[in-house]
Amino acid sequence: MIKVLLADDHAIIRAGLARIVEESGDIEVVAEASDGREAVRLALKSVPDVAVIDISMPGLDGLEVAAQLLAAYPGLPIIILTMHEEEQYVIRAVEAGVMGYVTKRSAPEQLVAAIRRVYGGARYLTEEAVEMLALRFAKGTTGKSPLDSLSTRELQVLRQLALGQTNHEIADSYHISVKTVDTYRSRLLKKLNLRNNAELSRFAIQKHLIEP
Amino acid sequence: MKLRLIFLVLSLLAFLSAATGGYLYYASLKTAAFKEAQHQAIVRVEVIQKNLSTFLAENVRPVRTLAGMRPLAEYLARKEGAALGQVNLLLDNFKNALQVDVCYLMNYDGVTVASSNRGEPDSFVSENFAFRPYFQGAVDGFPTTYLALGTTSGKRGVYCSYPVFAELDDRPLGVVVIKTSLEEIEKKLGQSRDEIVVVVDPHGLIFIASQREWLFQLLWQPSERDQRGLVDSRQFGPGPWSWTGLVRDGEHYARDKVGKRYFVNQLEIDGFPGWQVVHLRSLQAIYKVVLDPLVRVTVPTVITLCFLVAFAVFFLYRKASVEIVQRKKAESALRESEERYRSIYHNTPAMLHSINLSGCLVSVSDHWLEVLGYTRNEVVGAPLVDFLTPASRVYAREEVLPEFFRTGSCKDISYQYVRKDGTVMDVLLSAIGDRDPDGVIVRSLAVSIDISARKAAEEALQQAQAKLSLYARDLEDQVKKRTADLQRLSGRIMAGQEKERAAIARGLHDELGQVLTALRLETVWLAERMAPLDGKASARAAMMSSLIDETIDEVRSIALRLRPGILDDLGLLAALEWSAADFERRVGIICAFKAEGEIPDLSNVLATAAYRITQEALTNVVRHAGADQVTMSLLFADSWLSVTVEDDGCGFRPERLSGAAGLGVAGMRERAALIGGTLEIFSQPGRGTRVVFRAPFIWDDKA
Repeated sequence: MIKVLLADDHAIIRAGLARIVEESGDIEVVAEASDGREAVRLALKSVPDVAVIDISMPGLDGLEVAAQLLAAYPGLPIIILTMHEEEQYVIRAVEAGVMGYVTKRSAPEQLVAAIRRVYGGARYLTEEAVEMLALRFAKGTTGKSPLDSLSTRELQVLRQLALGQTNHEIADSYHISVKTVDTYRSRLLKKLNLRNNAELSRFAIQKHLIEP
Repeated sequence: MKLRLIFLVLSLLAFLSAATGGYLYYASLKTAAFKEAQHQAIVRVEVIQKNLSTFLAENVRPVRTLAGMRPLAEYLARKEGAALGQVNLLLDNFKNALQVDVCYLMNYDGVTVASSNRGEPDSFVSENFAFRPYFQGAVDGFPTTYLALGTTSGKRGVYCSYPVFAELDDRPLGVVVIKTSLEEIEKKLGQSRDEIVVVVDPHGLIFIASQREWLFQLLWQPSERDQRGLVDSRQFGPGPWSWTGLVRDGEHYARDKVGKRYFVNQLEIDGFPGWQVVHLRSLQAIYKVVLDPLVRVTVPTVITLCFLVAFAVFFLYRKASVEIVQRKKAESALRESEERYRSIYHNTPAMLHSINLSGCLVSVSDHWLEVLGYTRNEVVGAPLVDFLTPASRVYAREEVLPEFFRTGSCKDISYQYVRKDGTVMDVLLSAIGDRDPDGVIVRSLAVSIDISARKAAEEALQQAQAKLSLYARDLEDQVKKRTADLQRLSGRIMAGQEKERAAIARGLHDELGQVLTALRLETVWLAERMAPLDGKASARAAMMSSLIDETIDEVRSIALRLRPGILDDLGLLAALEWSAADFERRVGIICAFKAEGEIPDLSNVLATAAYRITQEALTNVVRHAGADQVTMSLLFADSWLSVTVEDDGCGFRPERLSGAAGLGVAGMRERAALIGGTLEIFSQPGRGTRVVFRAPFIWDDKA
């Protein structure tokens, strides 16, 4: 049984989540906390295998809690559970050392899988979050880069093209038209002074936008 | 008037000199002509005398020849009848040959014994002419020529006698005579009334004359002795002889009865002692002869000369009078203008004065005196600086006067005059230099304008201005204070608004969102649970779940619009990064975001301001720019935060901003100003727009 700590200031949600987790059969909620401090306290008491923590809680917020838990138990798999769907939160969470990130909205579909995944030692992130991380690391935090002049969507399209996705596929994944993708592509080539998709791929690899 | 007199005198002098010159010319010509005439007269008398002498001596030789004829001597010696015939023949021959009046022979007693005119009525044969000097001379052995009046013929003649000698005897037998008439020679003397030639005997009786009426008159006033001598001589009839009336007048002149004057020349005839040729030339005639051509020559010359002189004088006089008239006109115009100038100078209500090179007043206008209270005597000749205040005096001496005499003008010099009563008067002085023909400044013409009133007004104005500026400053301070108050208020309102928004957003997002999320959890669970039992109910639940999803999206979007939680949770950088991506996603305009520099934790107010400004800028891009691409950048350097939103849109003229966009920009500015920052907008039509917000990082966050 995977022992899980659930921390969320909303009782209804907590209850809902607990039910989802427990119905999986191999996961057991060992502690439920309604705020950050309680979460830290209970975690120290019950020693869970995985901590599922809401990012926005009164008192200590989720990231703070994660930091304290990781300080107490380095390597503890933590999943951030949040209302926020903005990728910036994911990045912050990953920076804080968490292994998974699940929005509350997708919890019924993803939380169990996420718990099992992080318990198994792997990360659990959404495709968007992964991409965001890749883009962020490619740009770096300091220093000038040719990528600086690119917008998020441009970076996304660049990355997808470098990964060998077709215009169609890209259009589908970002809910934009194929024509728009094509416009992005030609603009990218112009901005980065490249000639074709092959050069785009080479450029993306150079900049660590994708793994070779 | 003077000039006219001078001209008159000059013209008179010119005329006089011309006349004198003409007269002298005339006189010298006259003298020369007169001398010439005299000379001619002398020459003429010499010629006449010579001719006369020749004429008188003409028969001397023939009579000797005749006397030598033998028949004559024989006849006189023998007194035979036969011989007389020969004698007469001889006498006739001689008379005819010589063409003389008569030839005759007288015996020793003086009786005419033979004559060529023996048969004629005036024959004087057998008459005795022993009284005749020619007979007496010849009888004495001397051939004689004599002039006398014939006793029988009454004709004047030249008697040439020669003694007839017998052979070998030196006592004359008789005398032979040839008489020639004087008529011929008289004819040769000429008939001119202006030239009278007479031959007078030693007594002064005119025997030969060019004028008949003069004959047998005494040329000069005769004495008793002359009359008697003439009678005694018996040569010219019995007399008496009248006097011509001619009187001597000096050595060479004479005057007749009627006062007519003559030039007299006389010469004795050779061989006729006492006989003289007298030449009388009428002075009047001489003058006439001399003067006529002279007058003919000189008068036109002199008249022409006089005329020319007169013309020249007239011309010059006209010229001069025209000039005089012009000069007079000019003078009167000058006088008038001077008077007008003087009148203007004194009557214009302006302070006028002139100074000379040494800075002393040479003239002042009445108004000058009136205003300063001096009399003209006190002022003229005194240095101008005496009427200035000490400060003005120094200014005048050291700056104004040297500069004025150098340049010749000065303008609006601020002086202070001292009135006679000691009060001070402010003036503005302007002057120009009066130059002599060489361009050297000799005096000034200056006008002073009383600006006491102006100065007082200026001072009053200055005071008023000072007061006003005090008020203005006060007002400004008040406005500043009020503005600060308002700003504070505005800031507080904004902060309150933000807080409220944040609260609502959080409420919506966290509370409502959580509830909806919980609902979704339940419906999803329900849907899953019901799936094997009741497909319909399960589908219903799934539908509910998707409805809840939509609602969650709605709520999220409202909350985000009110205030994104990311700004509070993750800070400005993350918020802007998200905002850029979100903008791109929503609007479809490419929006790149870049951050430079280590961004520290910012105060809430600063972050909020920066975020709201970028949102407003992005809204403007969507509404107005028509851009393809937007770049948003965040820079932190030297404690200053700057956020730039730049688009490649159509741009605009920032100074012409108005309406809603203007309000929006004003709002951005206010937000910037509230935190001590600035907002600048760079834009040009067709060149895109750049909105730059800058704010100091150090910010006392009171709100």
